Amino acid sequence: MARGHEAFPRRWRLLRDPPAGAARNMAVDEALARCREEGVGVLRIYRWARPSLSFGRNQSARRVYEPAAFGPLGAEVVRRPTGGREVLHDRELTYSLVLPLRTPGGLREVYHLVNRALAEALASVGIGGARLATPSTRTPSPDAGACFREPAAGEVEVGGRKVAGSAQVRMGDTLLQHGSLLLAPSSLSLGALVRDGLPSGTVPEQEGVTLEELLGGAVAFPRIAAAVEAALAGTLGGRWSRDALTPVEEELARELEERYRSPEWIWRR
Amino acid sequence: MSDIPSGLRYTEEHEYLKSTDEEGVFLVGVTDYAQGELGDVVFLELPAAGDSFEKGAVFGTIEAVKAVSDLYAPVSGEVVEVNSALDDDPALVNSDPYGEGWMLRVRISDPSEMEDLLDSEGYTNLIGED
Repeated sequence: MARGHEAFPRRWRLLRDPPAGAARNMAVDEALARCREEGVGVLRIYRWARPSLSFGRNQSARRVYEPAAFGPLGAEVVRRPTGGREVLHDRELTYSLVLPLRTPGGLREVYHLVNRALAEALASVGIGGARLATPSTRTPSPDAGACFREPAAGEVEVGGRKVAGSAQVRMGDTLLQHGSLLLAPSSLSLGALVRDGLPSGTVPEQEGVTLEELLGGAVAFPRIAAAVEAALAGTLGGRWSRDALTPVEEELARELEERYRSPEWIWRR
Repeated sequence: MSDIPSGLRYTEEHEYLKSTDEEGVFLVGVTDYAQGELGDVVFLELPAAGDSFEKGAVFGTIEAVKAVSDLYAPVSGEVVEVNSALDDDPALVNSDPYGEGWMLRVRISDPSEMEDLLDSEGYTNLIGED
């Protein structure tokens, strides 16, 4: 929620991180948000070391997913600081953006601007027809099924199938938004992670469409990352430069990682 | 334009404090501007009756379709009642933020803290809708 309005940051830090564990990825996103400097925004592009399921901040997970199912499958599980529903992160590009709340239009305008930029990025790599979903007549609750199952209003879809999903959290006067572009199908299915005896028809599925399918062939991560960076830089303006975590951010990320790793947080609902 | 009733007190984080018939007991909720920014509210995590918190502490979270936001206590106090109607219909925060969408009834512990809150004019200026 905005407090008055100010322009987008004049300076942007661009971090492109190697694949990392699920708790580390969430901890770094939160550390970047907690350490935000006035007038400086952050775009982080990252990947996941192993297939990882992330729950939305307030999503009920315990009644659907089996905590013991993840380890034997080489998968991880984490709960995000942001809203929305579960996402299976595997062969995808994930981004996070950190910026002040006091930007023109506030939370919702940032959401739409970023999604428009993602649609432009897709167009720049040869995927036509990406558009923003129109408002649905019903409002999905945090327990309404996997995030990629259907596009929410303003999210990027191609032919009615969701291609990018994003979520936000307000932390004091800072906005953290992160989201995913599916590059290729995961080797894992959500059905392998659920509790025994879940009624048929209630087993979640991650649907959506991958860039591999849309492009008809293998997708090079660096190419998509460059397209996303260019589109967001063009949309948000300012001066962009490559950067890394500061020592303070690194220390905070290490502290936060413990929380994101804890069963009390992951399985809180 | 957002509805910003006079007679209420507001925080910079978009919560309000509204007097009740009972002296020292106030309703706490989020403003019309806040609910408009967040969009359709789908979930609230609120404290229980009997819980206490300090001014400025996070007392809960509010989740719209995609955005989560912490809720900040306008003043120190003890929760007297939680609006149970929000369990079934969190969208009351959208449709009637100052009425049926109230979140907590709070017995405040230090009335002087109210002096730090904004009046309707101050809050109007804060959100830039003057």
